[in-house]
Amino acid sequence: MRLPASRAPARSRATQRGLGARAIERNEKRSARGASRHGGLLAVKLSAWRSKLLLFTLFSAFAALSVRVVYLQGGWSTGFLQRQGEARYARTLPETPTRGTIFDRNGVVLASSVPARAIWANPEDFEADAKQRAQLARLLELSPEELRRRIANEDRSFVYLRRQLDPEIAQRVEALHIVGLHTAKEFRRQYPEGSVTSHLLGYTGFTKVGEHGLEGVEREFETMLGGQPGLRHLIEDRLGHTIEDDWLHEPVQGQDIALAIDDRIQYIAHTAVKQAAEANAAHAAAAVVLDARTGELLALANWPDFDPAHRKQFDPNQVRDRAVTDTFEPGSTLKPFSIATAIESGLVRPDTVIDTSPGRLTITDRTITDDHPRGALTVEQVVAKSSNVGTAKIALQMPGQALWETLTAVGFGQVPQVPLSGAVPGHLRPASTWRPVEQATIAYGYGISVSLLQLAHAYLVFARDGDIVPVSVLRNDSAVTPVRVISAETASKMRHMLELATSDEGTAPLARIPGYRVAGKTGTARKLHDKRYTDAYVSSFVGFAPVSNPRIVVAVMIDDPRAGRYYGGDVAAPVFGAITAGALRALQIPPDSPTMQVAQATAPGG
Amino acid sequence: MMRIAPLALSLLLIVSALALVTSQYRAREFFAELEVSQQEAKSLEAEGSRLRSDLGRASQPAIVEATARRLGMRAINPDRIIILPTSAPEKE
Repeated sequence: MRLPASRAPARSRATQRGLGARAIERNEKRSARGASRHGGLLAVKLSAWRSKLLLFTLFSAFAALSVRVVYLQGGWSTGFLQRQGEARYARTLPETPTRGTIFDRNGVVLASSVPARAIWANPEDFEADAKQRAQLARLLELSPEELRRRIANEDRSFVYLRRQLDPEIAQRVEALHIVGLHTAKEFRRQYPEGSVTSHLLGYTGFTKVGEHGLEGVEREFETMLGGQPGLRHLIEDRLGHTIEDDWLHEPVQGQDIALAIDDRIQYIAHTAVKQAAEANAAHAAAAVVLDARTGELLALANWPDFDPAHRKQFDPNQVRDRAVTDTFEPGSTLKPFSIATAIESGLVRPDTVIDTSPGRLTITDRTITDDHPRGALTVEQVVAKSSNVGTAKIALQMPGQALWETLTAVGFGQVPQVPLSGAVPGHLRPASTWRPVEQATIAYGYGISVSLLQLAHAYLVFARDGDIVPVSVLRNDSAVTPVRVISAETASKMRHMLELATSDEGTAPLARIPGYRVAGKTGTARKLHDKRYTDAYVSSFVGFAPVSNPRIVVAVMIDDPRAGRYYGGDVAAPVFGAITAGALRALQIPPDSPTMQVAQATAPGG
Repeated sequence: MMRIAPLALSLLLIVSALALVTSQYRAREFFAELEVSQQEAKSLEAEGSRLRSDLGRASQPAIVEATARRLGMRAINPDRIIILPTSAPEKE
């Protein structure tokens, strides 16, 4: 639209001339009327082309404007002006969805998003005196040096000083009225139970696109909890007030989820695991509690634990959900599956006598030993007293494939179908690759590795009547179809044997709890390190209660107890007892022990 | 007739124009009100989730247990439980 510089003055001259010409024309008329008086002295004769030129110039100017108007408004270049207009009144704002709340089975909040504030500064125009700086540093829990360092970089115009701050503290920060300091609204993930639920729930973290679950349930249920961000179209007036809005697409708010976890049992399990690990100077410990009827995960506790509120101090060793992600050789806790297979195939009966003397059994080049040699034992006693030799002798009589099928059917060697991050399959080789000695050792729990969750899950077979249901992390209101592994009759026999194991003649009298009949199996396995067995042990106990009508399965694992005792019956069984007693009480399950006092019914009025 | 029609129509036009302006104005007003209410709803919801979270924190089993101990409460001891059979006792 700009005219070349040389032509601009020419045009203005023409305009001046044009104006002059019009004035002169008027003068001409006037002078024509007054010509008689003044004798036409002022009459100037101008050539006609000058006025025509003027008319033409004006016309061209208007024509140019019209063309421009049509060009801008008539559809050829309309977009440009519309964009410019929109840039001044229309805005598109992303709308972050609120992350869903995680509840336990009774509606207790385990994780929720609460309002928080982020404090950010613009170092370019940050201005505060020494006193303000000191107050700010104290409110933000930053050292004065740290604060100075963060706002020193004047090239940047946006520096977070503190995120996830309590709104009340943020208000006090705002009250300092520091120039160049701003607050922004955001949400903070809060875990009221802290370290008690830490491994199970995991935690969230911030990426460029927002908050995401990084571990545990937070990660596995991200699509449900996270929702979808929306986009909102706004029209604002001159003062920045919204006049009209419209959703380009609406946000999908995060869904709430209800876990199968029972907050009280989780606390009981966590406390028991923590106390046991500390009392036994153990490397780690874990416990899993399952509902025997539905397969729901009632509690999952690990030690060492971490506090999800202080994510800066996270140590991978503390964050790992051992019960799910770590495998160990289960040792004797696997024996019941071998015995059940033998009973199921009709090979032995609970009262069949097996000679375990002299407490040693040599298969090709390897010797299997019992810690406490015991001579002739019935099959029941082999389980109750946990004889390796007895189990090996029984296992060698049956086809390896049968044992493999039982172990596979209860879930060993397969990734558990549970939404818990990092669930591992463990290790179970196909039966065709077993050597005879391996068949014997696998029968009592060596040469196979399992996670504690798998072990607890597998015991559902005994606690239920020989069938198994998948583990459910979410509260499960619908009935699941069980898969049969062994007959109900065999399961009932196994329950009896496992109850014997907690009797005075068994390996785990310490697992007993007053008021209820309990059943279970100890495990004491040497740890493998660099393909050699070390003098470190994994002590475990898996059991269920009440025996008359099993409601819960509890599995406990203590990794490397270093305080002298290491037998599963000494170390893990009491933990099982503590968790089971607490859980049965929390679930209000009536005692079934025959030693309970039963009120004598009397006839009314008699 | 032909002289009244344009007058009536222009009157109608003016009235309609005024109505348009008024309705637009009221729409804006209502929108602002809606906006304020929505903000309020949001902040109430946030407050609610904070309170629920506080409630969860206050009802933590650890705190309940500590309070129970302070009040001198004890866990149920099976020795002190007496079971009352709900059905009639079986004949010997």
